[in-house]
Amino acid sequence: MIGYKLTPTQAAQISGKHFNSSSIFNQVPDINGDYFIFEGEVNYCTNEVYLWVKDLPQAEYVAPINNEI
Amino acid sequence: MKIGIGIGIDRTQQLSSGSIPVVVSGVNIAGPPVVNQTLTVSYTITGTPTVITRRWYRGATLISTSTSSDTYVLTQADAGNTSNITCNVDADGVSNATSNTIAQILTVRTAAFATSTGIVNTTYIAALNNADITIKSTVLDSKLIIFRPYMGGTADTVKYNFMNALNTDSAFRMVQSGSWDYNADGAKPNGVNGYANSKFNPVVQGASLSNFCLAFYQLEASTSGESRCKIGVDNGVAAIDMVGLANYNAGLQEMGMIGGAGVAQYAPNAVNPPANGFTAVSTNGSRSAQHYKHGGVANGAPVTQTGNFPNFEIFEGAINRGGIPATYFSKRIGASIVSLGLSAAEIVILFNMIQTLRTEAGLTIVP
Repeated sequence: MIGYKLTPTQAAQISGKHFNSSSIFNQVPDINGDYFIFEGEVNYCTNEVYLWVKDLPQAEYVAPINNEI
Repeated sequence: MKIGIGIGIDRTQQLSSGSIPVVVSGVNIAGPPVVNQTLTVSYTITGTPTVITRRWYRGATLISTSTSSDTYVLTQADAGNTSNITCNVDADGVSNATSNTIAQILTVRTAAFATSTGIVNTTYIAALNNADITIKSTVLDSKLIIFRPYMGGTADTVKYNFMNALNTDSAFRMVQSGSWDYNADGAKPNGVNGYANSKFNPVVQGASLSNFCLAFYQLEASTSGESRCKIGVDNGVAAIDMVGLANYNAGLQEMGMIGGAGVAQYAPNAVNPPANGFTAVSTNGSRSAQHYKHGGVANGAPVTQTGNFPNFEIFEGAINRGGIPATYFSKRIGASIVSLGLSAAEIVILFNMIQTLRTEAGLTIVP
């Protein structure tokens, strides 16, 4: 799955922040511990403070664990 | 050639108390077309009539008469998409005129939901209005806590609880996180980091294990073997004490209610739930939880639940595992419901209401 890769500083900057009036970023780590956000967060970001996410580099995201119930 | 002069009195222009004939004209009604709101009639009358009578009609039915007030407060009985409210103003029985028609009267909830979401699609609003008329006229009115129709196609529209469309946590307006996709049919979390917090904590809200229901409308079919939670919460300890609807692994979907005593218990285990469409699990007066699909009772015996509600908020599109989202869901959602416990007959009412709503709104239905 393709995501948008964040630096640790960028991940901290968006943590818990609204990217539009109804939605919050949810950066998640990949198998290497690098943080990612995804298409919906980038495409629907209208918060001017975080419009820089639209310039983040795309990268392959590999999930770290298998979340089973 | 004959020239004649006629003398007579037109009944519509009889002289009342003065020399100016009584004539009613320009009757108009205006006001918010919403239950509990006030319509006001305005009119012009020449002459000086003794009695002015305002007769309000819903279609052909007389619903109110007044000789003193120009207003009418709309009632729930007036709600409807073809209510056709009019007012006839009569002066002394010698002249009368009828107003314009206000055709569509919205329920309080429909109007509030439309205002909060900004939805202006008249087809959607009419469908929601009919849905709420059903809700108001059935047991659903007193039992539904959250009914989220996921309509409107944006993050700002799908978040609202139809039962209380305020933009507040206490109204259980959900807060979305991560990546979602929106279209007219609903909203789809991406299965990796997209989920929403319903803001409903069953412990804080005093929910009862003997009187609780979760239901969900899933548009896209689940695939065999996936392990994802549609809606739910657990206490973060190996899925013990959980409430939710999930696609459990091993190729089966299971609808969980509450586990306990160290053993995850589902209600009922490994039945034959649908891959998509409407699913629900409900207790109704006891801890025996029954699973439903497409409005009917699913095969499999109810399971008596032994645990306790987790003290965390219910997530949609994932499970709230002790405060952390897990088992992210990846199918498009058409509705979610948190309710007091429903009987089998009441589940049918809920299912039919959602199917009718989506059909009238022109949205995809399953099956």
